[in-house]
Amino acid sequence: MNRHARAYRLLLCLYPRSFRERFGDEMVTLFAELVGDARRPGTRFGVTRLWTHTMIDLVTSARRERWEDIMRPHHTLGRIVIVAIPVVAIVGLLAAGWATALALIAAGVALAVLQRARLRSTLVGLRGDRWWLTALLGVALFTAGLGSLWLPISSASAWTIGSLLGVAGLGALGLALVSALAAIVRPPATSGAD
Amino acid sequence: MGERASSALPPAALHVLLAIGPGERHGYAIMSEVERITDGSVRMGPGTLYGTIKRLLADGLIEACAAPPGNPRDDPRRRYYRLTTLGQTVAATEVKRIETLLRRSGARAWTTQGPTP
Repeated sequence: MNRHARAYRLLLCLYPRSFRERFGDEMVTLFAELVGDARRPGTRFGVTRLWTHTMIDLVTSARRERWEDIMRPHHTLGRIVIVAIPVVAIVGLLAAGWATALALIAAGVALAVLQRARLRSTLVGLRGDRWWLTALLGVALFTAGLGSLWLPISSASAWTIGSLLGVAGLGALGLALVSALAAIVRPPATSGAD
Repeated sequence: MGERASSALPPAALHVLLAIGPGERHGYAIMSEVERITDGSVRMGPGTLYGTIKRLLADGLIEACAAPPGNPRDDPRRRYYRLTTLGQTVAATEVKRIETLLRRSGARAWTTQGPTP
């Protein structure tokens, strides 16, 4: 593989992982062949023109693939987070000041990280064999909600953050309870299938 | 899929379907064929090409297939694609739609500046 193809492979990180895993090798092979064409005798600035064209293609197609990846049906939480972060930030800013807005954005980013780490199935998939993870998350959120009441911020902001975390924690605990019941009713082999 | 068959395809998808044609082609061959049939006016990058291939695979218009026999020196990393029966129907429907459009508007002569009376 030539250095141009190696550089192109590095740039493929701009695409979603699923896209890279499926087409990455083919794309690099194709690009290496295009480099070979661009280096033919008599081709002026061939490699430079190829890179220019490829970079424009990369930016436009990677943006599209990223967007499609986020909007896939099973990325519900990702969609909610994308819409919710600016909305809650604005509402928080208007209602309770910048500290609350920042805390809400941080919560949104944390949710996005959870989504990225594939923990969403634990939260929304009712996976019976993982109910204890959901329960742990619920306890952690509820405890964080209680702890936020002692944060060195205004009482209104602390109350808002504490309430949000507390409600999220109770929600996760409720979900864990349903998941545990589902684990009793359904055998783990079928409830764990994606 | 019936809805897909009766609606206009995105230009990139139509180009790829027409470039694959009746046989099997890999990415480089598809890209070269698109450039050839458009007289060089359409040059797809790898991202656009494989993004289009991804959507055509998802819609069931093309499928991956084994390399055609007779070229033992072919790069094993290449993957070949061919039209499905649905893909052939959709491509034929789209070509017919464009032909009808051109025929019905054929009373006017078109130039690069637009229609002439």
